[in-house]
Amino acid sequence: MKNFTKKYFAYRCFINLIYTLFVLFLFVTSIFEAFLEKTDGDNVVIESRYLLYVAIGYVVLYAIITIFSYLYYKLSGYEINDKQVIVKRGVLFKRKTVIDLENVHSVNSKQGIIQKLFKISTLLIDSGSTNTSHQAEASIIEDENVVNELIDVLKGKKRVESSNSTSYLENEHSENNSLYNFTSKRKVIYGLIYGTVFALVLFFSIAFTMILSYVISNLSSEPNSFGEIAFVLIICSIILIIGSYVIAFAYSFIRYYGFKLYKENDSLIIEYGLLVKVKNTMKLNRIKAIKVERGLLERMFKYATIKLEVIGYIESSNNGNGNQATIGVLVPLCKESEVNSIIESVSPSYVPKAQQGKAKSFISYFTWTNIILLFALIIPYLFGVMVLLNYNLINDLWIISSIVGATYLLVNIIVLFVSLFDRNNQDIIIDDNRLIIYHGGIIRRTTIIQRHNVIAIEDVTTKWRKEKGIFSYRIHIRTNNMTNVIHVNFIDEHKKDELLNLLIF
Amino acid sequence: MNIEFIKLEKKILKLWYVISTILFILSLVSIWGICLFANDSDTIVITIPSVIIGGVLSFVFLVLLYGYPSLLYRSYSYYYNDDRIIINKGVFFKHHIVVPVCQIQDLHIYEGPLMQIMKLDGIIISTAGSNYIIKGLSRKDSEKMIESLEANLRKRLEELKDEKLH
Repeated sequence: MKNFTKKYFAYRCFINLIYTLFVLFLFVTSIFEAFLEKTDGDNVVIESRYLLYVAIGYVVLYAIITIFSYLYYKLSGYEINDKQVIVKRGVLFKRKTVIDLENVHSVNSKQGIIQKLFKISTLLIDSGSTNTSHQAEASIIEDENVVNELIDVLKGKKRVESSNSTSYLENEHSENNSLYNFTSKRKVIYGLIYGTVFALVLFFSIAFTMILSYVISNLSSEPNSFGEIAFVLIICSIILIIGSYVIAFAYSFIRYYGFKLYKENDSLIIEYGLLVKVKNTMKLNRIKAIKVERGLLERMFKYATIKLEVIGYIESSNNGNGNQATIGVLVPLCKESEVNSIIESVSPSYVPKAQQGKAKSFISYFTWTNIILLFALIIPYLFGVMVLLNYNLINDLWIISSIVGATYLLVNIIVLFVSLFDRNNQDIIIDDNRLIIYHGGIIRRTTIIQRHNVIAIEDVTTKWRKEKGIFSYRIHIRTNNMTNVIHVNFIDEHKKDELLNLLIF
Repeated sequence: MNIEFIKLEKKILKLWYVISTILFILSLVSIWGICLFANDSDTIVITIPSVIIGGVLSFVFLVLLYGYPSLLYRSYSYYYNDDRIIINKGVFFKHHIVVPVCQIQDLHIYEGPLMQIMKLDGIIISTAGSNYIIKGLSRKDSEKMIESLEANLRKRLEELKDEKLH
């Protein structure tokens, strides 16, 4: 078992220093504030022995953490042999991960900005277990050159296994020949599109909150004037719009810096990042699905995003929720007309076929939504009416009536809006050994899945829909456990038999 | 293909009725608590309109809580053979799920506290994507089902291995 690189220990010491200094800063400032409060701000005299205590405390804290880091470094290690990758980590809670080489799903390397200073990077190895689909199963921290070597070793071992001599030759030619170029022009368009989307979403949510707070404050004894609220709304909107574009541009220029997509033997490699450098390596036959996504704005300008479902290849979202992860990106932005050629160059069996049909029913979007909605609104409404009657507040009845009415109307408008988009993008095409699914309304998605990755078929209907031959389908696929069911609504009943024939029993 | 679906154990209906009764008592307490006590005075005040609304709400809860279990029981059925598991469920929305046996990753039996009293089991069928639950089998049935599913799975995996080799 080999230890992680020594540089890793140095790196930990540096990180520890930053953390402990930060803690010290917080501690000292809070103590200082407490002193100020006690002494009313004048003649603050801090005795030198207190300073000594703080210094000793700091040294002890730093020493403990560093000893811990040292133990962690000494007790952690890894080994790659002909059959397995073994990684050992942890001091108090020890963890030993063993992954069979034949089960390795994806091999990714990641390098943060401080790691770059120390010339080390993290190698993430994933076996594709659904239990740990939000994070890699094993990680090895090594010198950046060693990590690159290890990636080659892992690939090489797999190559020996498959003992396919022709792939060696292909390798020499195909290496570093990028299949897609994320040009600066595209980065700008990406920034503009996503910036606008963020800004619009934020604007509408703020406007909604403002209107709601205006209504509520009008009901209270001291109503705010509409002018005040409009002023806050405008200021917030300006800040948010600027913020949205800054984030979107940072995303496209910094996160996707140096975006490279290329094939090597039977592996696909995706590299990007400036501050955090990521290199993902996955075998082509580990791809579970390819998703083509087109949002409203992307559709207007005829652009599309292509995503890749490979267990272990995820982009963790930046909003702080550790467990939320979105599926990995294959191509951040490309012309709609280029989608097929890009997918063809990656893996020809995933090229989508054109949509053939659409949802058979429009009214289906409304019937059950309305019945459930009415029920969900009427029961709390009746409770409310009962209370108002008891308190003799008959005049206030119109308030809750109008709130209930407005909610009903608003939900119906949203349903109408969604269903208008939704119904044109519902279809299932069965083509040899694969499935092409058109689903999603506002964000249109085309998902291409190979037959062996379909796990189960579920159909949903009601009595009335059955008579009309309208069925909805849920296609359960083998993938990250967050996005494992695809919904297709209100299409033909005959698809059911075709889908069942597709399942491998 | 003529499939004879298996119904859930009749006892599960009793269990659902027990749950419904508990929920119904709770809903009665809240409905009539609000109807009779939520007012300005310290005593019970009975106003005819609110009593009518209370009555309507109680009736709605009664119908929902006692009607739903029997409808659910009637709509719920399952089937399994050498190569597939089929689950039918849903009162208004009829769900029909077909899971091939070879996709099973692991099988679990579980019992809630009430299910333990009634000697009932639930089965969780895990695949590489989703979990499928059948709740309300007798212990004998669940053990039999797990055993035969395991055997079928092993058989299918062997067959698939052979197919790959040829």
